[in-house]
Amino acid sequence: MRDTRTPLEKQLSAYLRQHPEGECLEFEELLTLARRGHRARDYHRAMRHIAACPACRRAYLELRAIERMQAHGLLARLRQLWSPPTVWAPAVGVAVAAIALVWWLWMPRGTQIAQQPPRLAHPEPPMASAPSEPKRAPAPPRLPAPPRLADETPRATKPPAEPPRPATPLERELAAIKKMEPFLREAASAFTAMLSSGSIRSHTQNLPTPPIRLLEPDIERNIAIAETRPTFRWQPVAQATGYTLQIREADSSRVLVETTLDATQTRYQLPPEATLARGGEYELVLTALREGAESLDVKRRFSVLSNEQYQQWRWAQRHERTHPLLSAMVYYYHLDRYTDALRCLQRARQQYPNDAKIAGWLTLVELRIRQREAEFNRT
Amino acid sequence: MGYCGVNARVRTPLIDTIRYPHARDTDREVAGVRPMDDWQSIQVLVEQVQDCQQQAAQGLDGAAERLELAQDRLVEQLRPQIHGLIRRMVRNPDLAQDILQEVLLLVLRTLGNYDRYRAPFRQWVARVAIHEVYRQLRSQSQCLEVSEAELLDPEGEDDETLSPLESAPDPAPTPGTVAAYRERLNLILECARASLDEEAYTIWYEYLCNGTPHEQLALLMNRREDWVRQTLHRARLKVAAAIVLHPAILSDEEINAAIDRCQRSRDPLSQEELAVLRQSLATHSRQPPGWRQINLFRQACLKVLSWVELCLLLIFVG
Repeated sequence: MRDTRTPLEKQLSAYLRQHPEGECLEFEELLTLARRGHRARDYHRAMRHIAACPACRRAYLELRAIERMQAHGLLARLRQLWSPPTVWAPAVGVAVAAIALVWWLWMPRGTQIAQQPPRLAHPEPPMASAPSEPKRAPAPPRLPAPPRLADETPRATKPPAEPPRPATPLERELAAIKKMEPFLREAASAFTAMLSSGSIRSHTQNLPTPPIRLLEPDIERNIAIAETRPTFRWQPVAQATGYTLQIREADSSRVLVETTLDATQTRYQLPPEATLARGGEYELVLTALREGAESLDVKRRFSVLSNEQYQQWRWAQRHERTHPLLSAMVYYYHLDRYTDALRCLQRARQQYPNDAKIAGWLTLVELRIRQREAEFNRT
Repeated sequence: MGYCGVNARVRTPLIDTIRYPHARDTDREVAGVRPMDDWQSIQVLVEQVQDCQQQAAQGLDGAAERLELAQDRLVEQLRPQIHGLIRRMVRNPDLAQDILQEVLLLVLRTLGNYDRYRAPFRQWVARVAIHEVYRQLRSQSQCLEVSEAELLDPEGEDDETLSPLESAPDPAPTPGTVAAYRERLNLILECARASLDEEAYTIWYEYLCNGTPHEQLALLMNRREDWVRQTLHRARLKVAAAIVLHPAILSDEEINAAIDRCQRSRDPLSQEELAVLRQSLATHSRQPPGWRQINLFRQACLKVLSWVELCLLLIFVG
């Protein structure tokens, strides 16, 4: 990974490494830090020492890894308990079934459905990189539950004719997932919350149109791209005598690529030495030079999917047909891939024609795309 | 005379404060002499072993026998201490025993690398134990992905130099020429501390020291990557503005020189950025602009600071 620090910051770094904050950490302090994280006493002071002291840093990271491996070992042993057929396994199975039956009999029907979503209520915080804007939307704690019918009565007085089933297409998709990853729960929870919170502004009438239309990569309508060596292609500009293209890092404004092209060249592939970093944020500045007229330019910020996002992107691609709604939410919420989300939602509308929410989600994504198109000079 | 080596900055002669361990088990308690705890007596033993190692290397009479005896005593005292450490990390008692043997062997083999003046022995040995536990567990669970592994420097993972505590510090620059320079760096750190909250300061500090990418910062701090990215970016902007606004850190001439360099670069300040920066510099005691322009100002400061180092260097070289 490229070092993005300014020279002054590097000088400070050298100074701090010679003068770490505080004393070296004792074993107990390191262990507490590895186990309790933010809740450890003097966490920030300790972390600053760890930042500047290679010995403590290494010990701390190794301890964290040890804790993780130990936890994994414990889980594996618990699984081993279940793997061989044992005498008590059927008894436990029967007991669980009995408890489930009692619970099912006593729970009212409406509550049963409404209680499924709280698993989405507090999604585990993922380590993945995520787009900023959609995630700012406040996430209500649960998926909207289907309205309770007027004649519904608690299950205790009126037993159901059939066991409860996932009510909405999204719940069905969630139920059909074999391995529920935290990022799926988070995407579903946050995305469904967006519609009700109205986080996307609806006025798109007066949004400006970019003076140069980018054709590739699709950063005009999405924030993130998957490829690290994209080809940039744009529509020719009338009266253009040439173009300049610049790619720079969004944070430090360090220029990675700067090139001038003649009027016939409306395509440019990044050279291998300028391969973009996964998880990096960049800015494209494309200028059309015009003789006798003011030059036109567009600036587009974009990011490259991080490794974790890339795995999520692969998941969404693989599940577009079987889980179009979930895929759309992952595309939108985790990856900032709005056109992919739109495609999946259109597919979902065909698969679930009776679901009214999908139309709302489609509108939301379309609005976001319009907004993104208008963000051509925002830095 | 030996030194306790508890802290390089406070080198207390051992003989004045504590007794040697062989006298400890006897009843010859001397009034007013502070008894040693286990780690202190181990520290003394370690220094004895190191002395014996030197004598044995010089071929002195009886040094080899003394070394062997001292090593036996050290292992005897170290064993329960290290076992305690390992058991805090490893649940499996058999595995802990195996690792204990490895650690003891490793400690004896690499004791020559331990510098008593840089760190107390208990810290050094704790790092040896942690590293060995990590190495053993890692080799046992090859298939398990440990995200911390990518934060660890792969170099030296399998070597037995073990701890950077052993290595000497970087050579310091010449004191006379860098005193003012250090003072400025300290001022910058004070500025940063004053302008950031605790968490933002920690993240900025980590990034500053190691240039850690956002993804790894998020992993290290147990935070989300987008949160880290935003917090760090804001922190850098705030610190940059605080530095530029502090007249004792950078003089007007230095800032103007940096602006000139920036303007000649590929990424110069825009007209608006330049205007707001000049306006703030022109005010008495460098006042920041109003809230409407504060972000523009901070962005400009960050750009300009990229070119300040050269100015500093030029001043010091001159």
